[in-house]
Amino acid sequence: MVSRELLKGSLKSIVLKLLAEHGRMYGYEITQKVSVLTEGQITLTYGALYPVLHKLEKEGALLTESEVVNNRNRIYYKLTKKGNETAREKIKELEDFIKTIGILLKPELGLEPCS
Amino acid sequence: MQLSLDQFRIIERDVQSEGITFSHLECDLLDHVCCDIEDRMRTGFSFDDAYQTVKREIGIQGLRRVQEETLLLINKNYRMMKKSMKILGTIALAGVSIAAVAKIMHWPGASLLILLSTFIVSTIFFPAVLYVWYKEVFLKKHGFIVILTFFAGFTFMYGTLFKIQHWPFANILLIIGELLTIITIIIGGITYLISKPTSKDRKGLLVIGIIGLVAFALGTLFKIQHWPGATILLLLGSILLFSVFLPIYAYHTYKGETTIKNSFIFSVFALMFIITFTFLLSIKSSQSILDAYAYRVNELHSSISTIENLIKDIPEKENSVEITQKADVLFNSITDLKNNLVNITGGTNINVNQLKIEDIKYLKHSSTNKSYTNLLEGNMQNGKAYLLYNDIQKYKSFIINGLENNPYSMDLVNENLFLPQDNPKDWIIQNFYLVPLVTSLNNLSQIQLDIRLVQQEALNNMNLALVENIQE
Repeated sequence: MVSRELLKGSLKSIVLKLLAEHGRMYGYEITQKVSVLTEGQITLTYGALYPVLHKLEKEGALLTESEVVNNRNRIYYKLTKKGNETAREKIKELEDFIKTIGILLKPELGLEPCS
Repeated sequence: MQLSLDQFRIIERDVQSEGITFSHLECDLLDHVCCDIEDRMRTGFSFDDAYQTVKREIGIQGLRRVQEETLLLINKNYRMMKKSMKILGTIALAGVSIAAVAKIMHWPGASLLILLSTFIVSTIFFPAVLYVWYKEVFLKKHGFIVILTFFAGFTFMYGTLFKIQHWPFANILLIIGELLTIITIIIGGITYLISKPTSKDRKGLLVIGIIGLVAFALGTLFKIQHWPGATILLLLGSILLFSVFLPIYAYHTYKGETTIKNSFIFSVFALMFIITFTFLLSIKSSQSILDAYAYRVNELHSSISTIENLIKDIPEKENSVEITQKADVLFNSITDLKNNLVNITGGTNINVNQLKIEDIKYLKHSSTNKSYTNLLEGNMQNGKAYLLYNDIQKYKSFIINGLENNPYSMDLVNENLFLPQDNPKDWIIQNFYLVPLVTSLNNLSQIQLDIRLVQQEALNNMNLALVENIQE
């Protein structure tokens, strides 16, 4: 399980990446997708996912569509034009971050992994 | 596996009761919970089991927390506001408490502190609370109610402040504040009833609650303004609120939930606080009656000094010394008694001959105070009131004896110093039984004035007789 602390900063990028690949998705679908892709290593909780979705919507990166499914309204999220750009930037940012962290964790830098 | 409509309705009701109002968050969460349950049911769980598990994972008020986190993430001001609200609220609370202590102990600065705390609460804290509520709980279209609540609370708080400080326009402010509160309750209640899909029973219960609250608010308004019908309204309001609405509401809440929600505990406390507060305010309003009594006492004392000055101008004669002496002894014994009564009820620094507004709180004590009753009534035969009756009786007969040749003056004395013949009990009951201290003081001052009037009459009469003798 990935700790919530580590996940927090990259949550936005993960959501944007998924939406960029799958077009429109609804909240539960996103959590399930993340769970399946990471083989249960990452589970998004309600409290983590929806604040980020709403923030992205407010920033104009996402658009919502409402559809009635089995008596209830289902809200689908998809990227806007602006959102596509944000997604690119954010994904790049996350990749760079992982690379940088990778450098920091290389043994020859003198930072020995914990025994 | 799809949820049946009945199962969906159960979930819908529970989610709606969380009061999620931000944007389409409620739809998101409702759908999420439903999907989660459907998934679990697909792996073989029953609806009840699946729902219980999901509920446990969300936790108490979990959905509300999602809303709060969303608001926190979206709006930076909101976070600042919440933080400063907590700090300001604590400061205001401390300010009010210290001010209350200062007021009781007659320390300086109490008024300033009350003014400051009221300003913080009404002008900063209260609007901030409303804003947060508006963001979290209310729907956008209900903005009017929020504004109404703001004005109602604002005028009501300042009205209270003005009332406590004896400043002008307090009554007008309070009336406006109370009326706005009542309008807010009615409009807010009706909007709630229309907008929230609830059962018929619950709607009826809410109607009872609203009527009770309105009656109660009207009752306090009437009480503060001394209008007739206050008692009936207060009685009706409190019976509806406390004997009908609250027990049924509490029962429903208790039955419907396995855990008691924080909001329920909070609302009970808030209700208790508001009601105690308005009750205290209504009691405080009888202060104006006490003010009138204090005014009357001071008026009596200025009359007494006028008469005493007139008496000084009457030339002294051989018999007049005895009359003046007897009058003075009786007069002073009554002053002593007054001081005694005031001391017993705790007002040590009060000048009974010159009552001040701030003394009045000591004067509310009624004769239900044990030592006060003992002093005045004693065992009927040795109480101060009984002794006083005897002394007045003696003084009266002494004066009347000297006025035998003047029936007109005799009548005057009888009228002025009226005592029920041989019946001290009636007289004691009339003057001191179950009356507040301020009334007793009033009555005693009246007696002192009568003593001086009678003295003046006797002295004048004696002079007149002398003049007549010389003329003969």
